[in-house]
Amino acid sequence: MSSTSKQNWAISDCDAHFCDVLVMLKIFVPFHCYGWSSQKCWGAEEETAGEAGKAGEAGEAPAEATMEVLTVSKPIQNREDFDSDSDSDLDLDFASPQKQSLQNSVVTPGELVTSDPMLMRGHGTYSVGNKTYSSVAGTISRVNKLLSVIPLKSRFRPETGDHIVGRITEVGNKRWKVDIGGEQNAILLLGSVNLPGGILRRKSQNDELTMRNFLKEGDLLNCEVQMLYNDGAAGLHTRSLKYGKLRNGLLVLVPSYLIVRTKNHSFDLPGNVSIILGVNGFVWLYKTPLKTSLSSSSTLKNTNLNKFQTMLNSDSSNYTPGSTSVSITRLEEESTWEIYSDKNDPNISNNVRLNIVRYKNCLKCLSHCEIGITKSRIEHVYDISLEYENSGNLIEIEVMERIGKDVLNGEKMRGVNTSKMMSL
Amino acid sequence: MILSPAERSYLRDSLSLETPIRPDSRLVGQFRPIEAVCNFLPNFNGSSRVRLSDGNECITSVKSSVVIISSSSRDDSVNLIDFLFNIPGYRDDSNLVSNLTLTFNKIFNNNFDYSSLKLKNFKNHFFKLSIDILFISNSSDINDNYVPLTLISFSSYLALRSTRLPLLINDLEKDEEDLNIDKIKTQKEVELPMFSDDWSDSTYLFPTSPSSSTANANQRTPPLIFILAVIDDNLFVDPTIEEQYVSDNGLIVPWCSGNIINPIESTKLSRDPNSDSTSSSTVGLNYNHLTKGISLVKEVAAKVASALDNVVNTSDENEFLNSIF
Repeated sequence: MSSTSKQNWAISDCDAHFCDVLVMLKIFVPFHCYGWSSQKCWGAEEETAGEAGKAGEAGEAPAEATMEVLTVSKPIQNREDFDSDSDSDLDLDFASPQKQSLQNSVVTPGELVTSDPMLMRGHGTYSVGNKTYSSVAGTISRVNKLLSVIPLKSRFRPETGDHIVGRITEVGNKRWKVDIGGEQNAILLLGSVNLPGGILRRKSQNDELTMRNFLKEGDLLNCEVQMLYNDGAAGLHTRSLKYGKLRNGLLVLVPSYLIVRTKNHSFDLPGNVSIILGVNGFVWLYKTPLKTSLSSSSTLKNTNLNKFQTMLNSDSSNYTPGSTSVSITRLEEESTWEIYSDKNDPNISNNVRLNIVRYKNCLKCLSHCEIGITKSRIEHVYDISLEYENSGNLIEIEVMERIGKDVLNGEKMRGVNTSKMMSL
Repeated sequence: MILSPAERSYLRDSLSLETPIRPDSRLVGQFRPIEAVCNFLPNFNGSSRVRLSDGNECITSVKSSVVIISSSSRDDSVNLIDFLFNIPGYRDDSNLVSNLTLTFNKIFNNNFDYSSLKLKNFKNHFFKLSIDILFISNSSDINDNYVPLTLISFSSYLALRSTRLPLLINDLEKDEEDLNIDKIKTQKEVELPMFSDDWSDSTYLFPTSPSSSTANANQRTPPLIFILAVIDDNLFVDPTIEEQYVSDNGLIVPWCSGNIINPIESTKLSRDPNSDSTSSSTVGLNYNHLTKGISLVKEVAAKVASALDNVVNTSDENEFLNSIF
């Protein structure tokens, strides 16, 4: 063990590599080095007839494919194995304590980061005398004289431009407070949402009084971080048709540090399911909306619930875009009222519902194995999970870890031979 | 925890389908996997720790003491099993804690065979079991309505199952003596029970039969308490918090040694401060729910019990010599 970890540290100079090493350590260490021994105690051994058929059909399906009532496992023991880890760290420190500590390495709370008094102490550090210690478990980052420790696990830290999902916790004076899983609630100003009656209008006092008609406590919404206030709170906006209230699906919470920031955070997945992968770890899985739903009056009829909307609907039943001169504003009004509707699509099929819960379990699987979550990985896990006809099997720890291993192995192989892996 | 109206109606629709789709895709009678150990506290007669993947954890310890109950006062008012709940953030006189204590005391004392707690050859001496339950949760979602009763029940089952009582040594010696002298002795002077200080001589309160698979049905076990969420015509075991929030009603079904035991109770699982009047707050139970619930519990309970028994049977004495974690 000590020799392998030394190798890992040796290549850890490069950031990209380093992340990989971390993931590998987390994932593989319990398997190989510490002998993950979950002594399973199965509730019952007998299979029902239907399940037996399933197991036979999926040839390589392991024993877990049969449904169990209750799985009980034992926690991992033998933590003393970690000693070998700390030995290797010590070796490195002795070799060049000063130099090593300032490189990209993992520090634990209370660990000496540097004794150089010239460096400025940033986030995640504290000092006693001239010495700087880490206050969190994470990696050291140094920008000129500023030394900080970036925690491996932390609450979500919003950045401008993040596409996130949040839940309204409070309706206040001209603003909503939104829980985004961060250290403090984000603020959504009344002025930064689309309102019915035309988006180009200044918000009046009347709008302030009817704020609960748009968003109320508990509502989930899909928004973007517009700015950060001085105290670190995020200011949000939903001034785009792709943002707004969420319907037709389920919320899944995963740790925010697993979400990889990419250009795009909403995708359509196979199985008529769409996903909004909030950077803050709030993930919304929902039925893929019909592309034409925004202007079609038939869906409007189904989703209408509002008195304003009924009024609108009555005289727009034979409405087609562009046929009348007022179409621009009317289109705006219709789409925005739909944004604030609380009604789900009445025609969500059972298959879509099953796919949604399967994706949910796939996400939980990735988060259990601490694998970064991207669109391709979700699809990959989904493909693997199809081996289990009932996705309820995916909540078993053993199954989740097996799938996590498969995903990482698959990616390793993909690195070797891309064309071959694409077919997976 | 609050759900948005859209989430709530989506969940309800999924759960009230003819073949319900639970949010984590479990079957109606499937529990969430747990992590469990027992007998890990050295100073107690029995102990257990049960963890759920959502971070809720329940630690239970059983400590025995000897009490003297004269035959005249032996009636319903004497409880030989005494539960004490400790839930951080809740006072002992809070609704949550007192309701839990009441439920558990009632179910366990009504269905416990006190003869197994009686000291052999002593008329009025009994073991009294003090069961302390510490429930740790990292979520703020526990309240009077949302109680992970299933987890607590698993934990107390395991702790009782792993409980060992010390061996009495008074009567062992007496067996060799003359029986007549013995009788006179016990009548005249009140003798104090003496116990062997060798812990390896202790006996299990609930002895496990060697062939556990065959004798499961009539084996004596501690009670297990199941909580079922009722949504439309469907019932679910081990409901998650979301399922509880959209449920119409809840059903508490205790089970012991292969049988459903009384009292079967209904309980309200959902209390959403923001829920409007339409959200099924007045739905009652009907006869169908009861029969469905009872048959569901009957179906799963034996499997749950044998899964938990396996933990006791495979637990290793020296497992926790270095560390309990």
